[in-house]
Amino acid sequence: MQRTINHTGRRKIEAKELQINIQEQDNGAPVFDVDFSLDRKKLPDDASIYIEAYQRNTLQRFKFGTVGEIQKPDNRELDQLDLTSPALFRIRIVDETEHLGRLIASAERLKPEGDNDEDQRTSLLVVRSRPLGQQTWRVEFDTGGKPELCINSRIPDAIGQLKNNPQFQSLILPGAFRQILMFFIWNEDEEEGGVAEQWIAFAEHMVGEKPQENDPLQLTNWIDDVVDRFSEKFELCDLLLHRLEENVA
Amino acid sequence: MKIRKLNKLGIKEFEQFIENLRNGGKQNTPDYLLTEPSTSEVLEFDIELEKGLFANRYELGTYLTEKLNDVDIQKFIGDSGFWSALALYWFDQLCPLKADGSRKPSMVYNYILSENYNHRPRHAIFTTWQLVELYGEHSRYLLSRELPVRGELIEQLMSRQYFLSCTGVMQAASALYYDSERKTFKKGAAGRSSAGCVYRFVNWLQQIEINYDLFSLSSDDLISLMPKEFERFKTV
Repeated sequence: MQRTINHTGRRKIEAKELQINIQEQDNGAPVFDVDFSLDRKKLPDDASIYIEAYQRNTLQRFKFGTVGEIQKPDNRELDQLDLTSPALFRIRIVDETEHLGRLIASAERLKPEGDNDEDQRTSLLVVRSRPLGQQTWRVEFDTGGKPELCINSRIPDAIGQLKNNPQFQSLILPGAFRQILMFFIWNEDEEEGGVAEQWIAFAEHMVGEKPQENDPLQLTNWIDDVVDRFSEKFELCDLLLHRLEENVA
Repeated sequence: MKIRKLNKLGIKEFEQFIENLRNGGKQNTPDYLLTEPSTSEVLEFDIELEKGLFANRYELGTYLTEKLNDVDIQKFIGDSGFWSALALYWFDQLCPLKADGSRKPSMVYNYILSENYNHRPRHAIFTTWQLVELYGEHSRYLLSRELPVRGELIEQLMSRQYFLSCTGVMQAASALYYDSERKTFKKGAAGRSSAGCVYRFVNWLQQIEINYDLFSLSSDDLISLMPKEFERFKTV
């Protein structure tokens, strides 16, 4: 588990301090724009602003002038990113005069506006349809928020299938649930009320409190119990069998 | 030879050839894929290449950057047909014949530029060209091994590709780990646990990136921030 130490007293930029929009282009790569409403307290006017757009191993970095004089770069095309998943952004406000390269303020995993549809807002899990090559589904965690269950977009009505088809539900959901719990337990996120906490609370509601010890065996057994209870509650194996029998008939 | 790019069929046949070798098959390199109109197509620019004989990946990268110097290469950055054609052209050096006539290629994405961005940096030619193009001499320590070998250092740095984009980081690593006499990386650099090795360098970068913007730091800035464990590489 990685612990981070903030030696330099850098400030966390709140999501409300900037609004990122992406515009799709008919021809060519999408273009992004940023509206800043930075709280300039503790931010020197001459500090430089950088916006980094990223997804997986791809990255594009753009300089937006300084805190005192924001200047949008002319070219804001996201033409070097892996856009098979939505782009995420980070902002870095950097001291380039006194302590060169020191981070004064930053924020990670910022999502562009309009990337949270209403249906998904209240759910713990976002379901999306994405190109996944030969993989039928996978869970994405580097999303800037909730985990995303991605179903291969080559599957017709991929999202509808997951919502309505017992075969999809019974074969995908237990495995996805297990992955999510494993991820949040082994990548400890201490943000109060954060996504990890909500998922653990959801699981504890089913089988009782998560073991306090960091013993992998105890934790794995607990996750097994959760997935077992979840499958039992929604009768996933029965649902699958009924659907298979229907198909045969 | 005037290089053409592979089309879909050419890429597919090249992939089948690699898979066949990986499964123990023996087969001549299908150079004809590079000239047949059914498996390749002309490029927007003329580029004449020679097979040459490169002692290491750095030599190959230098040769290629010179050849591509006047080409608007940006639009070919993700072009699998182009980079895969180059890997096919130099395949006999990337994957030489063994004494028993067999060959053991590594994963397909080392030769065919993958659509999967996680695998792209593993392409033998694309990454070699890119590192030399971006960092010139400062990429020597990463590319000093013979063509079939990607090398331990690049493997360790690729685990955090963000660092490969930071000029200061790459120059600092070169200053620390390149041994100009041996013309390769310094002894001990490729270790896993020894003080100051590349693995420790990557760990240290992960710590300081919490408080510093690595893109903004020069090589000298980074070296002045380094803890004592890196001294042995600074002075050798």
